[in-house]
Amino acid sequence: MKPYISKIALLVFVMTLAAGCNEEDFLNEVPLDFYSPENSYTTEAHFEAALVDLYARVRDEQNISSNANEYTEVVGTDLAYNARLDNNRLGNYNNTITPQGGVPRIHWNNWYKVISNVNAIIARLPDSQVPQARQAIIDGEAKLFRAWAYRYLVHTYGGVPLVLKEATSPKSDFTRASREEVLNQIVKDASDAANSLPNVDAVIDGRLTNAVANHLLAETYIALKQYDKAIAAATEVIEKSNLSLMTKRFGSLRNSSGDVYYDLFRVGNQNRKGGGNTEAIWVAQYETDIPGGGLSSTGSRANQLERVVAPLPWTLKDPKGKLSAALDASPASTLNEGGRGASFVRPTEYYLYDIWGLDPKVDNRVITKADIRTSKYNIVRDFIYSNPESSFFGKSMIDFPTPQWVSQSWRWYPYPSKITTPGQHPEGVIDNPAKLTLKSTAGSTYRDMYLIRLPETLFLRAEAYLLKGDLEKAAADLNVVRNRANATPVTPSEVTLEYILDERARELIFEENRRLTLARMGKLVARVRKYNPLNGDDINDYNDLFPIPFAEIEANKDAKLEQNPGY
Amino acid sequence: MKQTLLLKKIFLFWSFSMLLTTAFAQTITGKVTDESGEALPGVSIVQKGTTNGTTTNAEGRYSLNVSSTSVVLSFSFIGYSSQEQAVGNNTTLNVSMSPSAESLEEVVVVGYGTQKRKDLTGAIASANLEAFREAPNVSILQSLKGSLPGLTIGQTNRAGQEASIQIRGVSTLNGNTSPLIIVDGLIFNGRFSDINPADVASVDVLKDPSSKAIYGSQAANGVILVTTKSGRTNQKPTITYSGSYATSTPTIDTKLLDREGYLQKVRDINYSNAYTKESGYTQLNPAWDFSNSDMNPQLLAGIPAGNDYDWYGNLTQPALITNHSLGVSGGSEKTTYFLSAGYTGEKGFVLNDDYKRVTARLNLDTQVTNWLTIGANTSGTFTDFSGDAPSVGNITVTSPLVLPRDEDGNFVINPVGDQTTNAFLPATNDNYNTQSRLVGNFYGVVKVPGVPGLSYRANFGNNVRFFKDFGSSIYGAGQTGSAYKTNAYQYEQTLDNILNYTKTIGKHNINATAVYGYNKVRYERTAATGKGFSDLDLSYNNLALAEVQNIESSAWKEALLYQLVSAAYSYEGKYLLKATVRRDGFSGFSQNNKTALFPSIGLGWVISQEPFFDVPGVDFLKIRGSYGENGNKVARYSSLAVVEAAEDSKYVFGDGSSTYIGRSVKTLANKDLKWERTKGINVGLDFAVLKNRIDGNIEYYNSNTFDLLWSKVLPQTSGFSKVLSNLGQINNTGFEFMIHGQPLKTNRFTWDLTVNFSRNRNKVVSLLGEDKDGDGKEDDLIASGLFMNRPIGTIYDYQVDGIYQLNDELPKGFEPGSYRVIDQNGDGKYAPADDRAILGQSEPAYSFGIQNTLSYGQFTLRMFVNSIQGGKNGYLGLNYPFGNLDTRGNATNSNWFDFYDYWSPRNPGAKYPTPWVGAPVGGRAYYQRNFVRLQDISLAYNFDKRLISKLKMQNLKLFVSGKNLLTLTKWDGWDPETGQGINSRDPYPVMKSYSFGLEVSF
Repeated sequence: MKPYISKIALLVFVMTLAAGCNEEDFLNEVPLDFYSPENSYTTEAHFEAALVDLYARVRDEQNISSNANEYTEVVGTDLAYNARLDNNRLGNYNNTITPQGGVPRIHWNNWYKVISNVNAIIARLPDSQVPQARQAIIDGEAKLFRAWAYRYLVHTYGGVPLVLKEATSPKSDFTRASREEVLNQIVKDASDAANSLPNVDAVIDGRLTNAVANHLLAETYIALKQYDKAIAAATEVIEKSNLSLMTKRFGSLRNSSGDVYYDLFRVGNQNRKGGGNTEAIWVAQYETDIPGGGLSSTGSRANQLERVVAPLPWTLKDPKGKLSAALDASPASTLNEGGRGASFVRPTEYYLYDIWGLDPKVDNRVITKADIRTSKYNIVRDFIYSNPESSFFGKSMIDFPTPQWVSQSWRWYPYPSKITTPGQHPEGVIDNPAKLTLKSTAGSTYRDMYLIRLPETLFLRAEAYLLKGDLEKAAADLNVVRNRANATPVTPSEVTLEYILDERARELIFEENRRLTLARMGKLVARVRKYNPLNGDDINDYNDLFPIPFAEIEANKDAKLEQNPGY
Repeated sequence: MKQTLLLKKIFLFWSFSMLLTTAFAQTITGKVTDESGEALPGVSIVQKGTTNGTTTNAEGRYSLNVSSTSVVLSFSFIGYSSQEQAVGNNTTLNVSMSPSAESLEEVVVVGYGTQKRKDLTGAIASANLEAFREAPNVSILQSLKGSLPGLTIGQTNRAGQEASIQIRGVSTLNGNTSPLIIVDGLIFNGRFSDINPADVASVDVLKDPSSKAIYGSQAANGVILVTTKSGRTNQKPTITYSGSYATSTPTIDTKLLDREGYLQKVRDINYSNAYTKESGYTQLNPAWDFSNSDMNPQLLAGIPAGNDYDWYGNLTQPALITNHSLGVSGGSEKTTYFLSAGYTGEKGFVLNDDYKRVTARLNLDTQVTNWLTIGANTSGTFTDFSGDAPSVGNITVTSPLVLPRDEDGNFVINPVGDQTTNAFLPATNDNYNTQSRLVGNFYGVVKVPGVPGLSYRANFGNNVRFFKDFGSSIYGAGQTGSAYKTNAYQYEQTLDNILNYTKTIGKHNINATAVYGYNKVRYERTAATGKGFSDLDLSYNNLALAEVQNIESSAWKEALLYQLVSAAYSYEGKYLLKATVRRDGFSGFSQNNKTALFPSIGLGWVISQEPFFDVPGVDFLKIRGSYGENGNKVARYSSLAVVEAAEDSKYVFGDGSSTYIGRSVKTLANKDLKWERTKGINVGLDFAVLKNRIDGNIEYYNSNTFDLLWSKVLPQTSGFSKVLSNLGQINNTGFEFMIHGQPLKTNRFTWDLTVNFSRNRNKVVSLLGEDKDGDGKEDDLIASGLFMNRPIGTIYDYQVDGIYQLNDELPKGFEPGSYRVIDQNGDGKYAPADDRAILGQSEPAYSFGIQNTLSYGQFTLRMFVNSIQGGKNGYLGLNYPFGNLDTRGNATNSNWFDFYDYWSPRNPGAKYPTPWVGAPVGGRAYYQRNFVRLQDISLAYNFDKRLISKLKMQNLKLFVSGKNLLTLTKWDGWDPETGQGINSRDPYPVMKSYSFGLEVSF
């Protein structure tokens, strides 16, 4: 028996040894394919990665289309409306801008995630291995993102909760700060950034600079009615940042017909270093087919301004109703067809005619205005039948309207060409390179997108001068932009807030966040009623601000998050 | 497990007989009959401890030469209890066999051992696998569906799909809800359908807290124990083949709108122009034609072309299932074996939705010395999902007005003219998708010499899984060509050290077990994708040819460590006690809460064995009660804050520059995250009455789950949408019974009936323990949809009351055709805070199953009816035309199925609204999903034993069967049980099938 017992004892011992490892080690959990905050905010490279994420988030926010009802920063304002006239895509304020609606929620969540990530950077920076000198820059860059987020939130929702500390444990007791408190926080953060961030010449394309900070300061000071400070901040940008308006043809299509305003929106022309563009202040960076570039030549859901705004003339028949109006019944990468649109959002008559002094009832195909922003390159006001087999080939649809278009005006309408990239679509979305026809996967606007351009800073300074009562200087700033556009200079007596809004529309449509600008000036509701043929009747007085998302109010169970009045 | 017991008996007899052996030889003859005196051919007779044996002939007679008077003969036959008879001085030995195993004598697998059913103190259900052998079931789960009280198996509607499993309702909010699966004693991660149903000998389900406590931390959702077949000692080789062939079609007969239906739909969407206002939109407006609608040009062109293409019909087909299984089992004196191979081929309903499975198994057990036994359960499963099936969503939206191919016969990429691709394209893809599993479980059992009853067992389990998914598509990536390869690998290792001691002292029986073991899993995955190929001649095999290349990889590991002590005691088989303590540690919990203890105790009293018990007609009566605690694990890495370098966080600065990697904090850490813990009692009654004609059991249970793992919804103002935490309490109570009886039994005809019933109620007992609104009651967590004293699946939503009609006064933002949402507080506005109400719950009230087995002569007819009922406002499901209908343009250009009864001025009494008109609040209607289903029906013919024994066969059976042939329900759409209604988003129908097959053994 003994040998057995010892054998068994040995066996049991071996087994126990095999299983009986150190329990603590055995159960210790080591992540294999992700990081933790503890090991992710120590080196300079870590903080750089945290900042890169913020750039990606701001870009995503810029290009939300389908989930946020197609560019609600423009649609449903005085500049654009739901082309199909139905109840979706902000066709009715009462079913879209609601506390339970997706539009207010998606923006709120995105911006507060930016704020949360900024707070993590700021909180963990002092104890990191990053050298002091670099810390100040990283801190400034992060804070400017926070200021940029609060800019959106305060103008869109009013006074919102100020969250300035890193979240390390669950929190559900947020309360709203006043609008002034939020604006002052923006000033504080943007001022730190203005002091620490480098000049436009010292950074790579797309990166934040002191000019961005000063531009934001100018806008925020106006909201705080501190006009002198606004003027000073704008002046930093306009006169001391080595920025200037582009006045000559430049960039990728400079040898094709067009004008300098057209050049501003061609592929590769937005960046300072890469595109020789001296008026770009902050540009959301897109690249095609590079990880992190945001766009794919095989079709992407990002930056779908072309798809949302461009019309659908290629879906029409010629007036005889037999042949297609367009070559191969396909969209084409041309000004005439506007790329691969879907006619979701169309510009208002206010934009297409009023601001240029045109009468919508007459033939506006040939514009005699000197203002290049309404040239045939920049606003496409005609559709020419492009199917060679049609007897109407080469003729204008306005002269030979097809009955289908007469009954469905949404299938074609004039549009600003900056939403598309004629002749410059990437190969992957081109169906036939000889004919420039596009696949169904096209629809993105394949270029970098301006977040801030110098004219807007000039408009801000003009606004500050105006509100301060200095009409001369206000007119002078506006005329810098108008002169470049070859437009008639404005006289000081003509300058009003309404005029500035008109000028912004002429220069910045589909660039500026129109909803934000109008809300900031308190003019959203009045101007929608005046200029928006679809939403004029359904917008309510309280729609100047978005509602606080109901999901936030509900989840914020430890304190009351007050809803905006009216909702 | 019956076999192991038998093995022990055989061993005993063998030892005994060896002592008395003297040299001797004689011939034993006799006749074997069944319980009614009929001759039984094909009965196997073996001299114990030898390979000497024979079988009975057509008249039930046998003759066998034996070596001594001390010989014991063993008589065995499928379906009958084995018998052993000592030869003694007899030369004739006639034996009457009785049908096998009354359920109470059954041996039940209980985890790290077995117990007789009559000795159980907990609630353990054993499946009647025989009842479903003839059904065309690809997975053993389908054979369990509806047949055991308290076990809910979900409906499946895809080839090779794994069904969901739930035992006694839901006891968790966010924790894992699937039960623990143990195969041959070892944890089995993954698909049930990796197990060939033909290899399974028994399935036992641990339901009550005390039985489950044996598996402690992972047991909260119940434990399913699967035992695969093995051979028997001294059994001559038996070869069994079974094969079946099944064909299936959807249970509901529906079609996409055809040309006329489609065009009418377009008119209806545009009724305000297509019809005249004066007529109340019932007379067509002659000035309107389809070019005035939002129809895409491709669709408009299809009108004059006369197109009416049946996309659904052309992309679907009757599904086919083929099954072949071959098994060989047998055993010598010291070694037993079971060897099997199986093939299952399933050709899915949707083109290319195919599934193939090849399985192989070898179970081997051998006694090396008189103190050491070793063995192995090994198997391989090779599953092939290759072939890209079209997305049914794509089929659904495609209009009959367009054709899949152009005049030249080439596929049209975007037939509808939007981004929807041609549903035929996926079938042209090259796709290779396989999952392989290799299982090698090895064990050794040492009978500790000198200590009778003490044994040590080591189980060493190894489970390797390979996942391969490769594909290429010339139409991918916007027709520039795409290809990818994904390789993943998972390795799981288990080591159990089990010490067992069995002792009988007089009337006292003790069985004690101690276990020490671990389980660890490691997973890794690599994926590479390429887009933009000049050609795809090399398919996915050279991804470096792609213009745009993307790589990714992921990995994880987890570990579980456990110790268990368990003791069962019984006195005279009357008083039963079982107690267990288990300690578990799991890597996924926070640093301070890695381990926990799970105790349990069970008591039983067999009243019918008491001398004073004298109730006429009652043969067996047992009362049992138990208490136990179980845990629920959390997903690995749940307690850690995660910083993620996601695709969305990448950026590129400047033109033509390269990628910058960004990182973002994804989740908050929870340093206190711990086990979710369920404590509960179970009270049960087992009975057999009227000479065992009726037997059954009744169970009542009541359990409470504490420290619920719960993703607490946070205001996103914090930057996080939720955080995993422990909180609150949920109560589950339930009542189950299973009654089995034989209402009729004659010589030729028997009717066997089993009814099972279960009812489970859960309610939220506690949440955060806060009363912020000061009403004296604990607050609900509305943001998470949790309400005090209400079930987990409470539905809190807007209430709808019909559909707005043309002449109704419409509140702001509503249009005719949208749901009339009830303004609960009557303030004229619709706000989530004021206008939602509790509408009911998603949980059913009760479910039942009825199994009928009718035997007449050689025929056996089986019928199984399954039902789930909601009671009052229960078992609710959302039925809404989800899909591509959110805008007028999308609705116009999409197609849908003919069961969507949509509103229009022509059809004011429609049941469903028109989602394209938009509304300020998304009120949607819920309907009950109650159903009664004839789930399985089969007719088998067992050939006469006398006849087939001439063909040297032991058994030959032919059968036909039907599955899901009839479903009674008021639910509209695909199926009440899958909860898929009239939506067109992902409509895979539940199938009804007919099959025939045969089973033969030699």
